[in-house]
Amino acid sequence: MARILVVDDEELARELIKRRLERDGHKVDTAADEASAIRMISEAEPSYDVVITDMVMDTDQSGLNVLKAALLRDIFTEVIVLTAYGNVANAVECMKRGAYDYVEKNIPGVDVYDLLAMKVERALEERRDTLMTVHRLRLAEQLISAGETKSSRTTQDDT
Amino acid sequence: MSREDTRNGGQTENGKDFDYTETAVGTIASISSFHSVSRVLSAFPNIDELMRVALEEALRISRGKRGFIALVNYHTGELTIGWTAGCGWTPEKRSTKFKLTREPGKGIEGYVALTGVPYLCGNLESDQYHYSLFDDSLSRIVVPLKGRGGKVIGTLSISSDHYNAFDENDLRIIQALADVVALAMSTADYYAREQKLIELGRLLASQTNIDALLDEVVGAAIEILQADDCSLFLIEEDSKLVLRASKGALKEQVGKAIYRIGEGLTGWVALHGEPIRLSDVRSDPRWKGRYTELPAEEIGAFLAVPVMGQRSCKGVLRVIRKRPQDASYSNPFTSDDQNLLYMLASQVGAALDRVELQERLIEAERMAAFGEMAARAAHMLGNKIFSLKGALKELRTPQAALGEERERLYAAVDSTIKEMEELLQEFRYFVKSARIERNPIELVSLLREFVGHISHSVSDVNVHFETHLDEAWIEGDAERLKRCIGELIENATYFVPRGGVVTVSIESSPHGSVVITVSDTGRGIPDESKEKIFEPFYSTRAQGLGLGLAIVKSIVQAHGGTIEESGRYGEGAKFVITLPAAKPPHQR
Repeated sequence: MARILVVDDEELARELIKRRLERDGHKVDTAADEASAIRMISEAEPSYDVVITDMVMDTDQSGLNVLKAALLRDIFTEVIVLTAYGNVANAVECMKRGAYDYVEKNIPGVDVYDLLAMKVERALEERRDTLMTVHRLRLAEQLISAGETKSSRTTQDDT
Repeated sequence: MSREDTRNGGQTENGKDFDYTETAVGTIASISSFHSVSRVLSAFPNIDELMRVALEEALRISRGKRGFIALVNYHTGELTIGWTAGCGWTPEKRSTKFKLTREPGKGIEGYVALTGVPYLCGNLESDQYHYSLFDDSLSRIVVPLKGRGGKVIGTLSISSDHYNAFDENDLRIIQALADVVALAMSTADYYAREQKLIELGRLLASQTNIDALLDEVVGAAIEILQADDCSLFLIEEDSKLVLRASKGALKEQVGKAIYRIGEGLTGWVALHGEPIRLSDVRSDPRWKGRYTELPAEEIGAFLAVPVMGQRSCKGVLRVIRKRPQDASYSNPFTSDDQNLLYMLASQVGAALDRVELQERLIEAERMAAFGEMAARAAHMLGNKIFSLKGALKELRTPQAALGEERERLYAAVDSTIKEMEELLQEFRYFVKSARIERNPIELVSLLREFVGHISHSVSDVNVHFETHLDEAWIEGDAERLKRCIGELIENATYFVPRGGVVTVSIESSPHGSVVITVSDTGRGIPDESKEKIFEPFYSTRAQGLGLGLAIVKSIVQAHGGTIEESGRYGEGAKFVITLPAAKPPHQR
């Protein structure tokens, strides 16, 4: 089970995404605008695993601001940006700034809710992998620093 | 002036002995007279004072008993007495009119005005032209007042109760005085025409309603050129010359009388961009006579000039004068008249250019707005469709909640579809908002009824209608204007607290406008937002495209009006719409 925040100004969309992801066993919070999303992100303890945010809400930059807040809180939170027609450029901008992926809301003939759920699973895998890697790196770092301490001690002994 | 220039009526011999002393005294007297006249002339434009002094001095130099100045009216073919001097004038005598004719016994003045030749008569009793105003008049001098181009504008008459009271010398001096008077009159006339043109220019620069503007031009042309009728044709999109304004018989044909470019005199002017000035239209091979202000045989003078815009000919302005009943004189348009009409036409051209530019600017603004609007509408509709697809999927999913939950989802689908419809409707209104019909509308009754209707459907806000006017007419589109006011009221009721008041009022402004105000008792609009609220997509409300006030502005602009928000923040919003007033249909 992962902790997910869904941010969208359309109430129905918000609710339906929440239902879909809850069916996969996740714990889902929702926010209706940029400001409350940023507040919830900064107050979350522990941080959200995945944040799904609509690109255009209060302003054209709302999605970008939510992304910034999420990465500021936890650099390894995976952010998926949702876009309706005509905002792919903004979504790509989000990718450049560290979003995991973007999903177009209107793809003819595609069940975007399932697509989103799939991307969430992948994002979670990615997050797990990353966290694992970080964990290993930390271990390695500890080992190295332990080794250095040992060898320096040996050197001291030599003198 | 040589003796040959002078017409001597009656007794032609010089009645006086030549006397050098008298001549010298006469010269001194005439110099002092010119001094008096020129003093008055420098205090111009008091034309009455000038006429009085000129007549008095003329009497003094010539030792005449009475004098008068009469003015030619070429429309009626008559001379009317304008100013008199000497004793015995009664209102009846002052209202005497002389015919512009060579017929005997109708008055020397008519003969002089027609021929332009000064007239000296030593014995009126035997004069063939003389018409007796006073029984004691025995000799007379009548000289023409000539304006620019030698056109006779009036006559100056001096009479005496002695036989052979005047000589050639008197005649010369009186004529010289008359020339000064004529010059002053022409100048005054030019001054008046100039004032008219300036006034018209000012009007053309401020007026945005093209039809009203063209009507003004036609009226002004008739007045300035002393014409009998004037018509204005404009080139429409399909390269046809369409009658847009006229005063007399053709007025009924506005919008219907159409020339091809090159057809008839009017079409020729449009094709070549050059004027046509004629006395006898029927003798010109280009003449077609399709649409005429008067029957062709009654047209005595015709003048048409092109209306030139910055890049091309935009139309034709033409004036006509009636043929005088008396065939002995004519009243053609002069080259001065032509220059004046040109000036008028160029002002019209500039005004049309300006209106066109304004329309193009508004259009460009709209096109830019369209682009953004399309993107926004696509985005909003995309979002709604995303929700709808999700809802359908949810309703189909076997494990989806049943019962109440299911009903709630259906309701959400319904309301989402409704929102989409409203969005599309708003879109359509914006697209159509600049296309308006123009009909005479009486706003007081229209808005009283409309506001009354709305106030019944709004429960927690009071909507009032106020006016001191009985009626207020404009030209426009009643449905679009109702939408405007409806939008403003709806907006106000959204922002006004429960129990608040929204007031719609109509006033007339002294500048020929109708002012509609929609004010409320809400918080009002902060100064920094006052401009932005009319921009498309500016909205502080969650729903819709944010086109409401942009649509209102677009409709008002299409009516040639303006809208601004002039309330003080904290005291409520106040939207002021100013529309050009129109004459009531029954006064047209």
